[in-house]
Amino acid sequence: MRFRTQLCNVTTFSKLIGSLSSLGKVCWMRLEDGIIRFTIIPDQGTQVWAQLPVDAIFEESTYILEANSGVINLEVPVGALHRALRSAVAATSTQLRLTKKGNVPLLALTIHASSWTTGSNALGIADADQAATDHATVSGPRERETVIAQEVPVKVLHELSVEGLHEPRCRDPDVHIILPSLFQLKSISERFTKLATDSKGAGTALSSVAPKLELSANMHGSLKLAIATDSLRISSVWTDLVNPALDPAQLSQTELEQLPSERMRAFRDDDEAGWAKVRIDGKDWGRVLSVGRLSPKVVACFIHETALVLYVYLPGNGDDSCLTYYINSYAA
Amino acid sequence: MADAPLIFSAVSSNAHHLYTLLQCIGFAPKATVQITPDGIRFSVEEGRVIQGLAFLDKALFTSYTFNPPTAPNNRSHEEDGYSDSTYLPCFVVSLSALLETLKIFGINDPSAAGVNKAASVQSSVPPSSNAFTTPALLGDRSCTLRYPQDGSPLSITLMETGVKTTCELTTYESDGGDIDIPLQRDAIIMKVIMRSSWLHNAVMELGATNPNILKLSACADKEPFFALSGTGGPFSESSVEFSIEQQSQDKGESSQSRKVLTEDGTSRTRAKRAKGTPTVTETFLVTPPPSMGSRVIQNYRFSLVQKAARAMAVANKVSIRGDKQGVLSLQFMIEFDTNGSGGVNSNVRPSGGISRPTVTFVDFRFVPLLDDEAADEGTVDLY
Amino acid sequence: MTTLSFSLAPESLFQLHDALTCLAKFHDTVAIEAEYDILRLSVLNPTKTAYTAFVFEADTFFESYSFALPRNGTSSRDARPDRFCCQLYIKALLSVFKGRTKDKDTAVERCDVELREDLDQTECRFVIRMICGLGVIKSYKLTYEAANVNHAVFDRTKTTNQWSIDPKFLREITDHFSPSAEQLDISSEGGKAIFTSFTTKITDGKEILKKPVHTSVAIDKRDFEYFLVEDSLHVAIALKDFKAVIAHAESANTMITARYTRPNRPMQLAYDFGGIKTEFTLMTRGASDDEVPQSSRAPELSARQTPAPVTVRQASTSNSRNMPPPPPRARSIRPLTGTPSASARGTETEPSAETQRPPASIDFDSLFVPADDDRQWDVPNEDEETEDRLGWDATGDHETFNASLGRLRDTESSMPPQDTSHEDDMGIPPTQRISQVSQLPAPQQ
Repeated sequence: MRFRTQLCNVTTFSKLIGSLSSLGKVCWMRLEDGIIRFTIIPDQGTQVWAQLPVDAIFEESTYILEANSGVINLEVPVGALHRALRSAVAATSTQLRLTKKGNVPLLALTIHASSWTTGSNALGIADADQAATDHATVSGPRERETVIAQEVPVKVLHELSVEGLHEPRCRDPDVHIILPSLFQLKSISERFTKLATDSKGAGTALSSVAPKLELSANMHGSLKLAIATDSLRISSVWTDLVNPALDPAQLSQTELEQLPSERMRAFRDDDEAGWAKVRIDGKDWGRVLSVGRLSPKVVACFIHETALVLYVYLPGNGDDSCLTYYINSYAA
Repeated sequence: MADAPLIFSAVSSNAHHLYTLLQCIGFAPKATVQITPDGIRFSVEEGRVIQGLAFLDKALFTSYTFNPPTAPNNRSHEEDGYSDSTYLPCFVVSLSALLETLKIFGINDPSAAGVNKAASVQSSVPPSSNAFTTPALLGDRSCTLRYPQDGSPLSITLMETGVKTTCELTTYESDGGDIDIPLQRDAIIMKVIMRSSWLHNAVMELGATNPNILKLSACADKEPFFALSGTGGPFSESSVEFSIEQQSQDKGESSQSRKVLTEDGTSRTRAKRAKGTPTVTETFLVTPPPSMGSRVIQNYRFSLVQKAARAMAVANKVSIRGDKQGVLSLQFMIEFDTNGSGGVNSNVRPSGGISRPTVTFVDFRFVPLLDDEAADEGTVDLY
Repeated sequence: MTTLSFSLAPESLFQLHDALTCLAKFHDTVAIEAEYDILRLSVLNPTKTAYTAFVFEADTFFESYSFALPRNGTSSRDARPDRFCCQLYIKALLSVFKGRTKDKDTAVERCDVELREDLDQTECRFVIRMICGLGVIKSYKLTYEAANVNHAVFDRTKTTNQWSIDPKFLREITDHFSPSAEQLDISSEGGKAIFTSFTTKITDGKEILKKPVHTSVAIDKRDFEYFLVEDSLHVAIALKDFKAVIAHAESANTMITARYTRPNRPMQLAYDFGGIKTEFTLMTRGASDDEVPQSSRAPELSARQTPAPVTVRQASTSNSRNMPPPPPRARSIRPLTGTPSASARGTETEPSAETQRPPASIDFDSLFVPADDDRQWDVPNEDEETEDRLGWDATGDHETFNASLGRLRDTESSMPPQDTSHEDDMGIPPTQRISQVSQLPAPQQ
């Protein structure tokens, strides 16, 4: 079993792992020929299934994967990996490899970073008042290299232990819409959650159940976020958003016309019946939206009163790199 | 009822002004709201020992419509100038929810993030202007307050590019109206006006030692002329004394324009700088009754006075008054530059000849600690 | 009557604040010692593994400084009659000397500190007055308590390893470490100096994913002003202490010098600037290999003591109702547990804090007191781990696993070459030392 590669897009990799780490402590990392998958399946809350071509984050020419089954499955503490990757963000080169210390398997990062010394001048400033204490040797700027090794303990998962894990399947969505700025959506969602928590917390001591946000959208470019408590009702409505077309190559004309979303499109834009709605956990939703750091394009697919599926496309990667978030709707 | 005109509707292009004023009294979760022809009055109180009041002057709004509702029958109030058949609506809303809602406004605006400025004594530039006015960005934004009918929710609508947020705050009947802590205006024995940042700085300074009691001491003819001290903290006693700076003349302090805070109804006599006037005060009047001697000393619970810290931080000036009973009034003057809102300043209260900034007020009142209460807290006098 | 009074210029006030901030990272009370020509602030941490002292020179650091002891007072009780000692809560001092803005109007123009200790007075206070612009005067009265003060003694002439570097480089190194890392191993190989963070706490074997990330950072020896260290020598100190020191050194914008001899001996980090002399004496631990012979060696005297000048004051300070005095600090020298012949041994002459070291279980030795305080450093009961196995290893071999646990604990700090003789059932290549990595930047195999 062997895995080794140079990283080529550390910032993206780091942000991706950072987004995953907000949803779960560990992730299942599946390394295959040409494809890397990251999956988060928390006990409760949103599942993420991410799939990237190897060259999205790894240098393909250095990617070495050897395993009997052709696949390596790892269980990775994403928080620790995210932290370790921070050392690599400004590095000149970073190698990632699977290794082992004692019986503990590790994902080891070997990071070469370089910077320029400021030469003797900067030290000279410090020394001006204290010439007696130190004796900075005069030298010009030079390149200094730092080698950082980060070793993240991981578990190697046997194929048997992951073969029961499958990506959820959902029916065709009622509404699909491109989300507005995730930063704005996240900020407003967090305010709503806070509003609901505050107004509840005053009365009941233990409001362990996080407030539920109502998220709804129609096929006329509108998205609505709402929450209600005893003391207030608040909603934000975005308009003029895009309802993206589905890939016509995958569906025949009749199939396209029979899609639930086409039936929804037939309603007038002021008709309540044209809206698909889900109820989601405010805190969990905030964690999902932390993927905004990747500045992706996000298509939200609403399955009325059932689920919300987000397709998160990384910028600059076409549609090849996609994170899929599966969020269940709570009953009213 | 359906045909009755909308009771109240007001539009502001800068919700941050409203937020800045309301957060000054944000120490309590609920506020009593009264809508008047001149503005909206928000008052909060806690345990009948502290009271805070913020007045959103109609000058803060680009449009302000108020149609006083007609009293059903016996609910007539004798408000000045209004016929017995109309009254001023009064209700309770969640202040914390209102503040949180107002924060949504300008959420994408990085300059809005810096509203909570650190406590520091800045120059005489109004703190509000540099903190959150970015006029170029405000064009397509508005914040609308509406109270359509008696008993309906108070609604706040925030419009920004691409998104519209509406919040309907449930209105509750006010239980027994306002509990005003009475300040005896005819028995004021101390009045000090200075830049609010001095008071803020002093309270922050004392707060660092975590005292239980704030002692206020003022005297017109003996040092210390004006001092605030904190006692009962775990480690130390501390005090901030405002004294006379020796070379104050050549600091240009006297050239500052001295606006004197107005209180409604009182004449605006300009204080003369007496011999024993601390350098940082622009008005310093201490006139205790003969029974008290020449020094006014009063104790307050420090944690209560600290609740006004937000107001101290954002206000330009503060008027500190105490009456014979020891009730302490802090009146904060907060100036907003409302240049962008065009010609709404014509009808507001006179503001000492300065027409451009809108002058608003936030008031606090505190009940003093009685002597034996203070003794229980373990005061040790510094003087 | 003992009187101490001094004045500080604004710049010194900032430096005093920085010093207090640093001292606060070691313990909650600070000892203040006044002598005729210096004022010393020192802190010994609760586990007695770190001693920190800031010495302020009377004629350079202060605007004015005066110190007077009673002519013929209680000096007979004092071991050092020429000084005055007391202790205060650092938190109390920090609330007074807190970071002050340089805002023109509120800026402090001068700070006067005065301490008068008069046995006839019931209240003895540290009085601090900040004179600010525009006639604003802020004053504080702090309670203090008598204290015995120990200094860790470190004989620089016995130093065998020494380096000096811009603390900025050290901070860049520690930035790479996980916040939960506890220890820092320092070593060198070839042209590299290597800093490795590790954690002695062994997590439950089932919780393999909660094991700490192991980080090592190698920099070029040329980054140092000078680097005179025996190659392959490993010493380890508490990372938290190290971070506290370099944070202050960086703010002081001065080179920092480390001096040490070998593991289980103290390391001293020091730098001087602008009338301030600092020293941080930190106990080191080291590689397991070289510790066994030391267990038989007797500890040596490591501390000087300055007894409290006036013990009567204990009662008087308790009069202040609302200010509980700091808890008395046990700073007296405890009997050393070593053999009586300790003083006869000449092999280790530096008066440092050598202590008895039972093999393989104790991490840090106290600077002053052996054994008792070290229990908290012990590894968890090993029984808890006997059943653990790696979650993924279906053929888990208890023997091997436990052996690896034991070795992990003993050798983490030294990072000896990994035992690669195991049958590697997963076929994962063994880890490498960072020195090997840096020599072979291209992947081997």
